[in-house]
Amino acid sequence: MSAVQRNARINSPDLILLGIVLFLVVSGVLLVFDASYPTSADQSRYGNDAWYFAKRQITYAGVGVCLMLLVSLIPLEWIRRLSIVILLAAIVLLVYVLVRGVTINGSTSWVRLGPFMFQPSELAKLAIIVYLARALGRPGIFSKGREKRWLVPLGWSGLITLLVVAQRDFGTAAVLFAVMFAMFALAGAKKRYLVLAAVLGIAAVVVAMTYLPHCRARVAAFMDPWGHYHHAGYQIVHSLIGFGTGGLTGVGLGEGRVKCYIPAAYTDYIYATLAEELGLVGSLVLVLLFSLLAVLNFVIAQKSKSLYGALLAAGVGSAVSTQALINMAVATNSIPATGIPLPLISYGGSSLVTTLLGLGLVLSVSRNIEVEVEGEEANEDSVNRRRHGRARVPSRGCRGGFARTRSDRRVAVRW
Amino acid sequence: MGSRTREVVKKRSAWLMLGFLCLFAAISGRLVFIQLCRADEYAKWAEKIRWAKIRTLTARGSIYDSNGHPLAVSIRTCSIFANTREVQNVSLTAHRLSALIGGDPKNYRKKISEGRGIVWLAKKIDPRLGDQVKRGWLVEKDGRKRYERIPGIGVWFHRKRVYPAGPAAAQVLGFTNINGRPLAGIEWKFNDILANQDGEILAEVDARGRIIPEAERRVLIEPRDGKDLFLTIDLNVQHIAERALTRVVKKFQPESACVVVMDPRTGEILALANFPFFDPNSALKFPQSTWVNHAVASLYEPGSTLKAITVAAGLNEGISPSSVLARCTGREKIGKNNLRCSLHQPFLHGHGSVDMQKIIKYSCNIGAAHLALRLGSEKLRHYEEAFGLLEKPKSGFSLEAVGYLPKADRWGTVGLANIGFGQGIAVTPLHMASVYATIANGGVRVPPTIVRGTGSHGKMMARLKKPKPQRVISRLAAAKLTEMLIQCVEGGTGKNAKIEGYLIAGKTGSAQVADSGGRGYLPNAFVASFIGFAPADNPRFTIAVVVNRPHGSHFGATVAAPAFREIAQKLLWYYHIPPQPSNGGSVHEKKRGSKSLA
Ligand SMILES: [Zn+2]
Repeated sequence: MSAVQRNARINSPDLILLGIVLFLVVSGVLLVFDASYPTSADQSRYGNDAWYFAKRQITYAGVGVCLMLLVSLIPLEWIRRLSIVILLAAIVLLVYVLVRGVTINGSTSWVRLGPFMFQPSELAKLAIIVYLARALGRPGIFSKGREKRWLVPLGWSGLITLLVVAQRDFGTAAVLFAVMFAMFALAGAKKRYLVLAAVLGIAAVVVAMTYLPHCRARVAAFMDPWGHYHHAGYQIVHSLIGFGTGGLTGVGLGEGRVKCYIPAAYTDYIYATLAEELGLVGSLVLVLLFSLLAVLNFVIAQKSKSLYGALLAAGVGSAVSTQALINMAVATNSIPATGIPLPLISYGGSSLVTTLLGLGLVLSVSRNIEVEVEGEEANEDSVNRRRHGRARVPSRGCRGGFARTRSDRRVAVRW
Repeated sequence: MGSRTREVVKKRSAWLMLGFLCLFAAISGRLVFIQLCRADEYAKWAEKIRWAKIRTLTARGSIYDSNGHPLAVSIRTCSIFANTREVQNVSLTAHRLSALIGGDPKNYRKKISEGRGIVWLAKKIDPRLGDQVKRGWLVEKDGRKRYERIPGIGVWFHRKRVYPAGPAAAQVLGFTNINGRPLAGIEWKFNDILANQDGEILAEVDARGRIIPEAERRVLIEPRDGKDLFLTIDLNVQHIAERALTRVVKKFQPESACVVVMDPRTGEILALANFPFFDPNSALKFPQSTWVNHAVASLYEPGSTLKAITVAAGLNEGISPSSVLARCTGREKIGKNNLRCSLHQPFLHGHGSVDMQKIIKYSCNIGAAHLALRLGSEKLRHYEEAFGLLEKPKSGFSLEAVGYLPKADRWGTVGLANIGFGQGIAVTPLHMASVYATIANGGVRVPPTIVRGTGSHGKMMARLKKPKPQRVISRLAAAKLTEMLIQCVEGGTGKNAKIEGYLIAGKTGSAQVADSGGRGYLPNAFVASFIGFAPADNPRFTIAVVVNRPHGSHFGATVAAPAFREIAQKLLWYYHIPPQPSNGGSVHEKKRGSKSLA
């Protein structure tokens, strides 16, 4: 541990990644204000305060950035130990939201935490990433005859995904699926399993779109938004009009009108306001920034000396990229609508803070690039693995398997 | 991390990265497609959806009486409709509407569920209720109270024409349809002045259709309120006239009847009442025949009341009032025609030797016929024309009728004799009222007018141009004729119009109704009338009462004279005209400076 901490002091986090993240967060706050003031100034439930959402978003951003920097400074090992707790907390909250969730704008995906409203599905993303990074962060778990080693993490993350699906939050479920796919792939899952997973995932989407009435309505609106103008097509139509009127250079900052029509202009459809006001130039710059974010995440994953770090970076990278892609695709009516915020930009504390926490992990990984996490080092080569592993089992529980995981949990709880 | 694991991580990271980059590239392609290739199409849609024409509600001009009492005003009102395609919960919507604007929720539910598209749920209701509906339904959510729009329910604000005086002067005013289009009367005739123009603004609106404050807007149509119209009608006089008319109608059940009250000095029509009545607030519920302004639009044979013109012509042509024109035995054959006088006590065997005084006082037909023969058709026609019978009065009414009179060379002896006592000629009650007003005004004809001026916000700003007064007969002739008309009321056929203490001038008339099919007259169909003015020495008003086809009696003296008396009596009170101390014509003579007529 002492070696880790010493090295941690030497390496600074990836400053380009930090820069892009901070730029996106600041732009996000500005955009949230831009897209929300007609609504908040107009409605008495927001105190007719044009700054209502902007003020809150600034607070969330402040808290989120502080947490991100804090996470990027603490040793990854701590997170590793906490991952089971985070997983359990996520499961408990996801079950709780199904039983006693608070409904906002028609979706029951909120729980009340004191004065705050919180979306457990946002925590679920983070939980799956840290849990899978830990569970899959040991080499050789895909070796023959040890299917249990990867089937158990698959089971837990699958359970979380199902709980999210039970909330009808298909967008987040898709993000979770993408995260799982990326992390299993990175951890070395067999190609045929990955292909099978992809096929099953696509099949699930097709089945949902064909048989679930809720999804079918959205597919119908996707195919013909004008025909469903008065229901599901309304936001799509106005979003598209926003993109269209934006043209190449946009109508100018603050001059957009989409925000006067779409109720979710500052959350799920914030991209439409950006595209309308800054045009194709603005919307492409954002795509570019998210692409860069993805590239940086995967480069950090590649450079990471530990599999655990690589998995964390790839998981967070996939989560943020998938979410951004789905959001942009919905806003441009490239896929059927599903409510998902644009990471780092859309209004919403749960999303912003958890995304920043995840990116904090990546920053931490980037900081530790040249460092081997002790536990993993111990697991490194096959010759040493057994001896080291056995030597460390009582105290650290590095070895996989269900029984060990339970002992891990005990350790973690005690810690 | 082992080298093999590292290899896998590196390779698969690269693949995943590539995958995401491909997807981002796909989104970029989609963006280029939407924002460049389809931009024009979306801009067109934006124009269609985001720009709305906003109507500025303006008001049609009001119509006031001469005292500034409103006769027709436009008030703001609203109608509630449902767009059945947007209504989400029919019974909840019906329940909420019923709570907001009243009415049976079952009724609303039925209308919404059975209708398609736009369904009207309530029409012309209090605009405050419309504001409430527009604001929405108060819901309490998360401890906060807020108004929630009722989906599918809309409010259309518009104007409604209201006639505060109800049926009073209804045929004068006319009415408008629900869209504010005038259909009759002053409303129609003076639409240019009264008409308003709702403004139209093309503006960017938000989702609720409200103008976005900082956005650009274009004025398509400048809003303009209609101008107000001020009538010469005095609502009090109108009520007096209508009450008297109602009494006549009750007693004699005529087919129609009308009263015209004029100020002879100015030609202003103070009241114009028509039976049958209708209420312009709900005009379409009344038969169309009730909309007719008989006083202006319907021709009738004036009968004995026209003798005033014959006598006026005689007087103006210098025939002495006391010169005997004929010897009346009650009947006489002129040409092929048998003339008759209607004989009463004490003239059961004819009026004897008849002068102009007697023609008026006892309504002697034979005398009037002889006077006409003596004047000749050219001269008589000249006076008929000078009194304005052969033209539209141009008083401001729509559908004014022109008097009917054949050309002078086609009258023949019989025609001339008949026209002398008011047969074979057709005019409107307004024409006759104008004739007597001319006499009352000392022989100077002031054409009748109904509109005094225009203005706005209830204040008169401009007077309407008045037609020029024209002298028809000399002042002396008018004075002599007035004296005869006074005698008619004092001791002649017009006795029923007499009011103690006042000098009343007037003449009865009872004419048969000509068969509209061909020649000849309908049996038992008469028009009874009485036209006169008061006070005779300083006339303040002329009243014409014309009753078409009364039942029970057909004499002007019994049917119309009492109504005249009632109106005159009340008007004398209304105008605070004190009674004259002495009876007879002495005061009148002094004032006029004319010779006594025995
Ligand atoms: Zn006679």
